Amino acid sequence: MMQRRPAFGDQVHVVFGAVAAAVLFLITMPLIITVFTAFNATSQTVFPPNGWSLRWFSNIFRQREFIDAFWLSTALAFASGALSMLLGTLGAVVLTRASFRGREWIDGLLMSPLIVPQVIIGLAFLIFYVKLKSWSQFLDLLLLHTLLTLPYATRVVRASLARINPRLEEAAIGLGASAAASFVRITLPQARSGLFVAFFFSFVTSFDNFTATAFLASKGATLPVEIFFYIDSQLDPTVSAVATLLMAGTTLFVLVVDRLVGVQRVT
Amino acid sequence: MRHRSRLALLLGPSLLLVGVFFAALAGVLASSFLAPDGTLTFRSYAAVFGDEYYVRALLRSLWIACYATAISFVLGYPIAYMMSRGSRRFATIATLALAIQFFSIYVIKMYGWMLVLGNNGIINRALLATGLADAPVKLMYNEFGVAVGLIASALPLMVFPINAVLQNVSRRYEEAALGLGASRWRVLLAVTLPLSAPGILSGIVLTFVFCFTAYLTPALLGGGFYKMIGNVIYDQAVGRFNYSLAAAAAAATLAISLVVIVSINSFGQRLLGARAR
Repeated sequence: MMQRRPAFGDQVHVVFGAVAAAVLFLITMPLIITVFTAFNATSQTVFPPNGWSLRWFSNIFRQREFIDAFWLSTALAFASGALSMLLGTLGAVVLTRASFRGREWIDGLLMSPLIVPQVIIGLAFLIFYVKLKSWSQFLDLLLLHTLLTLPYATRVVRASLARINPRLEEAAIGLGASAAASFVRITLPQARSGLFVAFFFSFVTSFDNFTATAFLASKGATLPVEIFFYIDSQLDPTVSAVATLLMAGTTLFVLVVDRLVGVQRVT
Repeated sequence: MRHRSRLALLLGPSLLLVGVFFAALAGVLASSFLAPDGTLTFRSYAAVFGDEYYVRALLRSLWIACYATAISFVLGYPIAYMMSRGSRRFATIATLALAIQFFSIYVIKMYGWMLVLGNNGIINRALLATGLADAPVKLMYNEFGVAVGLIASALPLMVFPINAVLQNVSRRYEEAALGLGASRWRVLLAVTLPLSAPGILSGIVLTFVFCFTAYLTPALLGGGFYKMIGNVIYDQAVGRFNYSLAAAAAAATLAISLVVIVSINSFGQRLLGARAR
């Protein structure tokens, strides 16, 4: 059923529409400009570009640290995404299927990494690894990123499990399947897109994370941290080129996800 | 009963992870109170609150977080409103623009603002080219640049919760008010705005805490000339290995954030409760 939309002559709509459009344009503009500046012919990062070239794209591949950082970030996002999806699913099963005292309390605990500011999480893990023992940079970051992404994964899987009728699983158990088998064979396939969204969300969150990560990794770090240090030291268009490639990659990624599960479910 | 204990086992890994997190947070508190020889001391707190530099960083962060949150609300509410009350086409475009923001890397977004606000940025080039200015206007490496960066990156935090609430508020109430003769603006102020209060409250909490504890935005757009408390914590911990001072500053930051969250929430509860009566 179509909702009746208010008439266009509505003053509120005109004013709010203008403000909203202007603000959305303003926050998108820097990203568009970034893409254009990647094609500058000289080392000035300006818009409009002073001539066109692809030299800054080839320059990326001469910056070893960007390539290494990209692979570190990708591996980290993949590992923490998979781990969060797994732990989040286990946790979500308990939170949706079992009723016990203190369930909301546990839910609150699992969501707590979202509430604590990133600088404090970063500092906490820095002190933790200094006082105890750091394993390897990758494992240190993996623990941090899994913690940061777990709340999203748990929440997404929980929402998708809540939509599934538990009767089907009970029926399978009644017919003689074990609880684990009926969950894996009956419920999990129905929650497939939820699991995928959980992984995707975790992947993006991990790949993007700067603030908490910066406390643990200053050199030979993840891509956002590496970009930060590059910007801090020089402002040639290399970062614009990196940004352009990342945006192209992200767009492709989002389109693929959209084909698989629908982007509306993600945002 | 056995079934239940087996289920609890599934929560184990997640709870272990959260346990490590809380242990690490407790470590921050411990470092802030312990002297190098292991005795209890308030020296780090005295160092933070006794030094004008740190107190100013805290006050500066509170101040910019307050007005950045207010501006984010003024700019974000129309977006959320139009996403649920405007045309379908607007909703699609707004969702797309916000998705771009969401999927873009935070560092890159701030870098983009540097290309806009810098001395050689698009605004200054336009000002110089049109003769509106003779020399570049300082738009970043100061408070203005930091505020712009904070508002731009916090905006989705404001828009998403308000939009989520507004999507579920039936338009019947607004139509009824219109039918009873209220003007569009009065409907907005007396009906739509109060009904979206829960979303506004969570938007304000998220935005405020994000801005108050920001590190990256003031680091890039402040360029060391406008330091917030997040920069102080980072500089002390990573640059100077002064963990106890960083921990005391972090504990103070967390305490202030919690006080603000609790007071906004209780204020909101009272507001909503008063209306229910």
